[in-house]
Amino acid sequence: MSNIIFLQQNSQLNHTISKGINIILSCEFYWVRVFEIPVKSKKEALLVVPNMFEEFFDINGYEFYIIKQEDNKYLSFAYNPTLIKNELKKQNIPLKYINQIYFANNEFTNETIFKFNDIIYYYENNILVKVPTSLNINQDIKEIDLTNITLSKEYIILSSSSKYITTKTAYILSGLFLLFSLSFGIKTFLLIKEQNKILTLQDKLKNKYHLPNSIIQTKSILKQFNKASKKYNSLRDILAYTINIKQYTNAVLHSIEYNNQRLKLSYKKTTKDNIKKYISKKYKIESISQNNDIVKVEIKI
Amino acid sequence: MNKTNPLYILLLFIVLFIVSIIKYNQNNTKLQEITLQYNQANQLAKQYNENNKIWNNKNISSDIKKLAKSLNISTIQITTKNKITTIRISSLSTYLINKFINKLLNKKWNINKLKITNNFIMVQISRL
Repeated sequence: MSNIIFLQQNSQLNHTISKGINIILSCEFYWVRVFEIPVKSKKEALLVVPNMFEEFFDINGYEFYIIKQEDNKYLSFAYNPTLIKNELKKQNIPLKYINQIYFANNEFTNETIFKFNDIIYYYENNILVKVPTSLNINQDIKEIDLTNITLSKEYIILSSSSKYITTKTAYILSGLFLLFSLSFGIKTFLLIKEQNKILTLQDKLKNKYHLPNSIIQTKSILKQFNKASKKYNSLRDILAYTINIKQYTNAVLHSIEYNNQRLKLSYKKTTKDNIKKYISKKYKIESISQNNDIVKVEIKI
Repeated sequence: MNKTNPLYILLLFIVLFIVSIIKYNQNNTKLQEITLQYNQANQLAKQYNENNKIWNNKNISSDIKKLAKSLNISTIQITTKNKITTIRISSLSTYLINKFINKLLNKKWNINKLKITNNFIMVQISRL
């Protein structure tokens, strides 16, 4: 089966499409004219062509294609993608299977007259026209065989994008999103690099400060250090307070003994009550006794 | 060959964009967490190092000797066994006892035992 379909208005396909095909548009799907335009390039000519077609019909919704025939002479096509799409839909031809779309005008140049599906076409001044069925030509006309057609290089591609976003917009947006994605990709890469850098620094901390193997161990040892610090501060404070007793009473410190967080003090030239009064202002006394002139007091730190 | 619908391409890049934003945010949050962890670890390490120098002082003996020397105390006896250092100073005046104790308590030590009489000092310091 040929992979070329000659698209005519109101015709019906007798098979379903499941692979890539090319479409040849019958002349009712496009306008064609030869324009003399005093420009050198197709690109420049394409800018002028819509205005020239505007004299013949309302160009709203139309797109244009041109072929340079000779200097300043352009074969120009105007086609309405929506009309073509509607017809394709009507004939159950999915847009996704269409590769290229050709204008019949460029594809049957070897013929002067031919017919397809009982519709007769012929070339008049190099422009393919459809013979009105009312003319009822009784000539024996060759039915065109699409399998033997070699397609030209002049084709259009129908955009399958929505009516809200044109192909161009879709590509521009795609480019922008790709750019943003790349930018975020680069930023993410830099973040990962920074993360690895910090993780390496964290590993180096262990060697630099001779830390224990785990954070839990470090925290546990720090707890011991804090405990020792508290113990030391308490001892310092209590010693400072008990040694300075002479400033408030006449007592003389005779001896100090500290062991197992218990502080034993002995004072001379004082009374049990004086010592008790002074020390109990700040610390809890465990025991206090007086033997002759020596007062012994025990405090738990 | 089938054409690819530009809308599909657009959709693909939108998805790619969303994925890249999500990945960026995830990694940004991770970096913040790692930075916070590092700062905490750094602080902890410095704290550990500082405390270790104080409470795990390996130079107790020489530090005490220096202290005694600065006060011209010669009757000092220092013994170290395992992690415990015992300092004994005898025949001291009350003035020197006060001076020595003041200087000793100006530095942090893990003091286990302390005995002071009118002419004798015994201090037992241990490493943690």
